[in-house]
Parts: sequence; structure tokens; C-alpha cells
Amino acid sequence: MLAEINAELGMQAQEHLRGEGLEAEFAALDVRDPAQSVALVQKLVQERGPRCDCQYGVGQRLCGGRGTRGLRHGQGRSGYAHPGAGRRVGQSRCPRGGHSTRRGDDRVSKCALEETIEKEPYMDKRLYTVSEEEKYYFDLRGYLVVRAVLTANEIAQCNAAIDHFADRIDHYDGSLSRGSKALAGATSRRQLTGMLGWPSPFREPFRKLLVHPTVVSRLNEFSGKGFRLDHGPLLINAATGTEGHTLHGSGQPHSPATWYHQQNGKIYCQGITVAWQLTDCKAGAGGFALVPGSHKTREPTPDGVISVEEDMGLVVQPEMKAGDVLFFAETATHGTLPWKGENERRSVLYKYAGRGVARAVGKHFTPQQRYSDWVDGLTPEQQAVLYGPGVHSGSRAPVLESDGEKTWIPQTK
Amino acid sequence: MDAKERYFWDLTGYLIVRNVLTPEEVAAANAAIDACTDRMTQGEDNNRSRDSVSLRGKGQKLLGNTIELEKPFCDPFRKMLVHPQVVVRLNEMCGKGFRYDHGSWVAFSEQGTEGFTLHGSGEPHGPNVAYHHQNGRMYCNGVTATWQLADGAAGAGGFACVAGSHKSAFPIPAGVRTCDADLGVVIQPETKAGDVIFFMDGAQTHGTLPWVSEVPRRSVLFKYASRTAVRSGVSTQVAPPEIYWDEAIVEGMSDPERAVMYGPCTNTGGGKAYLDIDEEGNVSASDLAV
Repeated sequence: MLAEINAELGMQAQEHLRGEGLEAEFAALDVRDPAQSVALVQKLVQERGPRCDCQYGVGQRLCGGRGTRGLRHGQGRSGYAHPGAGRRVGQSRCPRGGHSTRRGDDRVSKCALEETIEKEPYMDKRLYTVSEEEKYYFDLRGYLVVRAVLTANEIAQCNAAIDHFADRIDHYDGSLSRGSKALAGATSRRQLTGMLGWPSPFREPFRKLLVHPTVVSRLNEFSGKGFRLDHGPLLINAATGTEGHTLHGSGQPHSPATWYHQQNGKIYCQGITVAWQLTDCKAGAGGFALVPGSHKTREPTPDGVISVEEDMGLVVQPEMKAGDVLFFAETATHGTLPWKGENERRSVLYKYAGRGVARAVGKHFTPQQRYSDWVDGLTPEQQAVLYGPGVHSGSRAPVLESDGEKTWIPQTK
Repeated sequence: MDAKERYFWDLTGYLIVRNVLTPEEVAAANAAIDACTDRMTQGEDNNRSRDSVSLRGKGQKLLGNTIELEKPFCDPFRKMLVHPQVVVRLNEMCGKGFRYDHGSWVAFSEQGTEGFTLHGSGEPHGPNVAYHHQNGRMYCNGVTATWQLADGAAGAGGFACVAGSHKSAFPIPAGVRTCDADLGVVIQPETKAGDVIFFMDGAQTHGTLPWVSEVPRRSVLFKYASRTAVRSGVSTQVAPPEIYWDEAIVEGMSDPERAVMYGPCTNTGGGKAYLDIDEEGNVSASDLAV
């Protein structure tokens, strides 16, 4: 646990150094050894005072709580202030005598570490317990929002890591509003992937979300034990004026890979997306939207609902706060409304699946990747049925046609 | 696949297509098997019959992975893999893009070979093998095509099933599973060499009755899945996180984190792919789904 805390502090300390214009010192650090950056910041704090004008209040945290220009803890450059900041944050009170305001007080720095440790793990039972009301709501509506799951500190960690890799954020190459007037915007959405493979300590906040108790408890219930990450995480990032995404997913046509089924009191949802909110999504701000109950429909989605130009009053946009987590059945009709919020939208999506289904194809997709040389002696038709499972990839598995007399692979355009 | 076949398949959960192989093709497949008898494995007695009294007998002989045999022995079986009579039906049963999941093994049963307790059912629901019908279309995630290379007369034993059980929402009674008190619902369809049995593997309750015929049973089983459904086979081998994902993604992950990074398959080969959460909210990984 101490190593995790050190890693957390190290990440923030590195951001602090960069924010202070100390790139040379930062470059000399070994990012795999967070203790180096923590020590360096503490040294600087002793020499220069707790100049808490970095976006994360790192100097304040490491020196024990004194800062003159610093933002509130958990508040970042994009207005990340969590409405519940301080609610579960291990920074506001010290169980061993409170914070000193003396500069460079090592005793206080250590105390801050211990306090953070004592706040782990998750103490609120509702975070890892699925209620009957939640099961009813998810079955009825096809989505569920669990409120105030992340602490302000955890939100800040995620946002800090994203900021660190901000230069890797790309615009979506193409239009997701697909001609809809209701979803049009000035720009395409921004997105970022690869969090789980980032160097430590930047990846840790996202690995924590991967198997967060709130996720494990709900997915064991909704998808069954053995659920797996199919693809993601994906940061969806939007500035004011970003276009929306046409609605997709539905109970009709049936999709085996994302099938929602309930039988004898058990839910079997094969495709669930877990979307962690890192900024607020106020009512009317846009962002995630869906048609409640559409995971059970047996009729195709009308065009006006897909485009949201004539949505029949069915499309809802749930209001969410930073730190909330959204679960939605991929088979529910869902999409994105244009972003009108004044703050940035930051939502990190993890795409989970039941144990025995696949949407994204893995590294071993083609027959040559899955089997040994013997497949080279097969015809293209024989090879076609040896592809791995899944449908999301740059290359799709060939399909077979037959008239009962012969079998062939149809030519694709 | 005509309307009668679709009706029968949807209603009963199995379908027999007669005389698909010519006598010459049957002979070629049997000759390949005869050439490979020394590669057969012999199961233990009363292994698959488990706690059943009526299914007891000698261990099952199997010849595995026939499509991987060297030429010319593999040829008859590779032909079966994408035989037009299979493709034309699986395109409707599973949907286009169906895939071979595992199998291509020969079940070789001499007289007195034990049966296999019945398994598969509509309850509990098995998403990766389930059957669903909606708006005139069928979606079956797991289908086995069994090629008969020897006659299976009425009462001979071999493949048996409970017709319609893919739609049952109740668990299999113990007496049906063991066939010791089967309520009269277990049937053993009569087949001839050259016929193909399609059945809903996993959704339909099926198994094997002890083989009582003097002529050995020879059945070749190909286990297919729909495009996005997975069971085992190679998927089990490539499922471990370090194989399924790029190294940087999973390097240094904890056991619970690794658990959700296992690739798709229902048999993880003992891998800790299942997460539990205790009363204090601690998450742990195990190799058991219960």
C-alpha cells in the first residue's frame, strides 16, 4: 500500500515539477521511482516554500497543507473540482494531531501519507454491494449510475495522468454525427487510449478502475463471474461545441455479442460499458444519452431516434458528477449529444464482455496466428472458419456462402 | 435449409440430414481412422457416465483433431469442415461468419462402451451456447455437426437428447441427467452412415447412451460457434493475459487485474479469471466461477 501511495504522490510531484518550470529536474528523474520526485519536491518546498500554484496543489500536499495560490485539493486546470471534494478525501483531517503549517515539516508530510493509507480501502458498503433497486433499475432501463464512487483525490489522479499524456489526445478521424442536424458540432470528439500500458505510476489510477469494487460487484451480477475486458479504456474528451454521436445498439436486430437476457432472477448481459466520469455532466450539457428500455425492444430503431432529430421524447441524458460511474448495456440504444457544457467532458470507457463472447478480436485472430503451419495446407474456405472470435478489427473474418452443392467466399468490394 | 428443417430445428434443437456423404466418402474417412487407430486415446471405465447406473461401461476411445492429421488422412475430415451441406445450414443456425471452435475428433465406441451423462440445458442460461429466435431469425451460438461413419440403429446407443430442452427454463432433473429415471423424454435418433446430426451444443440437453451394437460407433464431431461466441480449443491456449494482450498492457498487473484480461473462452485452463468480492469490499481472483 505504501508503494501505491508513493507512486500516487510521485506522479503528482512530477506534474508539480513540470508546472514549476523545472523540466531539467523532471527529465533527470526516473519515472519508475516515484520516491525520487517526492524527495525532490520536498527539497524544493524546503528551499522555496510551498508554492502551491500547480494545478494539483502538490506542494501543499507534500509540505503539509500550506499554500497561498493553490487550487483546492482535487481541482485541476479544467475545472475538475469535485462537488464532494473533501467528502472522502484523506487530506482535510489528520487523525494524529492535525496538520502543521510550518514549512518543510517532515513530520506532517509523513502524517499525510499515513492518513491516506488509512483511508484505503473502500469503506462505503454501497460501493461494492448491488441493491435490489439497482438490479430492478438496470433491468428496466438498460443503464445505471452509481454516484460518488471516486474520491476527489482519485479523480485528480486520473486527470493528472491524462494531462501528462495530453499530447497523445487525437481528434476522431471522421464525423460521428453522420449528417444529423441535431447532433452536428463544430469539431469532432477527442479521444485517448492506452492507459493500462502507460508507464508507472500513470497507469495505476486506470488499473484501479479496471477492477474497482464497484465494477466487480455490478458486473458479477450483470454479466456473471468471469466477465472480461473486451476493449478500452477509451477517454472521450469534448470541448464546448463538440459534435454528438448517432445512436446505435438495439434489441433489434439481435446481437449475440451484446445480448441482454434475464432468466429466473439472473441477468445475463454480454456487453456492458462502464464509463467513469472525470468531470461533471450537467443536465442539458450533452454527452452520454440513451433510450431507456431499448435493450428489450424487438422493433428496429426509427431513423429519427438514431439521428435524435425526431426522438419521440425517448432520448434521455443522465446528469452526472465527476466521480460517478455509469453502467450501460451495449444493446441499449445509446449515443452522444453535442457537448454544450462550459467545462471539458472527460469520460473514460471500459468495454466489458461476458466470459464466452468477444467483440474485439485479439492478437490471435487469423488462422496463421492461432494455429501452426498445418493451416497453410487448407483452402481459403477451410481457413475462413478457423478465424478467432470477434467482429471489431481492421480486417474481418471472411464469410462463407453455399448453395448446398459448393462453398465459396463472396468477393468483397 | 427449407421451412420444414427450420421448424424441426427450432422445435426440437436437433436436425438430421440424411445421406450427405457418399459410400465412397464414408469409406475414405473410415480408412483414415483405421490407419490412425494407434493414436486413439482410451478413456477410463465409468468416467463419463459419472454417477449414472444406466450409462456405465468401458471407457470411450477418441481420435483427436482429425483436421490436423498429416495428408492424406486429414483430407476426408477437412472436407467435412466446410462441407456445403454444413455451411448452408450453419449460415442460418449460427449466422454468417460462424467459426470452428474445437473438435473434429472421432468418437469410437466398441460394444459395451459407456455413455455420457446428459448435459446442456436452457436453464441455467449459457450465453455463449444459447439459442434465441427473434423476428423470424435463429441465433444459436453453439452447434455441433456430427458425421456418422457407421450405422446407429434404433436401440444401438450413441447420441441421445431431450427434444425441446433448449427452451426449458427449468434445471435438468437428476434422473434425466443420468438417464436412470428419464421421464420418457430422452430419445436416441436412428442414423445411417453418411448422415449428419446437427444439435444445439450447450443449449439442448444431450449426451450419449452406452453402445450396445456389435458394429463400433464412429462419429466425427465438429464444434462450431457463432462469430462472437467462444468456448475452448485454441481460444483457451491464447487466453492468458500475457498472450492475449501486448506485454506493456498487462505487465505488473495484480491477480485481480489479470483476471479480467483473460481472453474469451469458457475454459480458462485453471487460469484465475474469476473475481470475488468479500464483505469488506476486497477483490480477489480465483479459478472457479462459483
